[in-house]
Amino acid sequence: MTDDDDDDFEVTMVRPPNRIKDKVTLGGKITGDGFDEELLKEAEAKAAGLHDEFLEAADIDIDKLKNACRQAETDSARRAEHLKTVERLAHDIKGYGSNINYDLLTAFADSLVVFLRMAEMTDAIKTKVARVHVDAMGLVFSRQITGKGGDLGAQLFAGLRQTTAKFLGRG
Amino acid sequence: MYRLDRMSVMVVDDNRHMLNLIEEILRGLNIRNVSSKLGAAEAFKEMQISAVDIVICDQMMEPLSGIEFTQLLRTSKDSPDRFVPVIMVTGNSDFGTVRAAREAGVTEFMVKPVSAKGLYARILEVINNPRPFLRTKSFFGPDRRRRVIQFDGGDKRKKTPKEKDPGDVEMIPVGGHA
Repeated sequence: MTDDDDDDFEVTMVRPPNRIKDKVTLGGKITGDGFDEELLKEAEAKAAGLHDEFLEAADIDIDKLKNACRQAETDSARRAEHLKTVERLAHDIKGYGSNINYDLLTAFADSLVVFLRMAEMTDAIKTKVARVHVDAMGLVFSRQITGKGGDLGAQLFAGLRQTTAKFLGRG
Repeated sequence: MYRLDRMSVMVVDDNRHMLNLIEEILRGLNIRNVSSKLGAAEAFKEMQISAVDIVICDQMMEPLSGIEFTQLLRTSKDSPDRFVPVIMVTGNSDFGTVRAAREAGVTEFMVKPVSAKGLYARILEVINNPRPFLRTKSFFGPDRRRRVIQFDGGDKRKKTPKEKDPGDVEMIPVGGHA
């Protein structure tokens, strides 16, 4: 469906009353756009307070990722299932990697997820590509390569791209 | 400063850590009334009992995805509130996902990593600039056209939206913002 398709039909517009604004402005007594710098700082501090929890989560998830990848390599009968687990874990790590200043974890997990979702790739190829990504992610975390990782990060990323390109027939 | 403590928010994510992160950010923003659920079905059920002002949900959840959950909120006869603003958090910013979210009736879209600044901005957007809802034969949700561009000439759409008061739309229960 596109926006143009909608034009063929009756269009009704409804403007629900803005009850949330009524609530937070005490019925319009509070004016302005509502933004408060101090409140934002407080929220940022609360988020930063979870740093250690996310580090522990990453430690556990990377172990699980290694395990699922190993199982995909050795248990060919259930390879698709194990790859699904790899994809799910990579998706989670992608979501929070940058929150703990591990941008490379997010980038590598993203690259892995994209590859695993390629329908045209066989599970055997996906497993090989997963192995390279999982090793790189393990290295990033164990060596505490934070941020973009400088030269080492760039080298690791280039290596991953090269491997992925090879399997995509672009290498 | 808005009294965000008067709002209630439902957070849905099947990843406990992400759920904690969003909860903490909301607490930092002084939003105390937060319900958190690890699954969309549970959240839907809970919303039928307790009304919420905003839903924040992850996109990639199982068995019910954030997109399916939004569709359910917008179109189900059992929906506790078809107008409830939905902020969708996702690790996927590809065109297909954004389009699917838009078609499902998502109000705001936020790409991970989740930040306090990003979440606060979207909450304020929902409060300050609520979008009208459109109903067509195949869509019900917030107006998907955001940009307003001035141009010379008349409205060239085949059908111009007819504006209705929510009270005129009997089929749509306006709940959840009591």
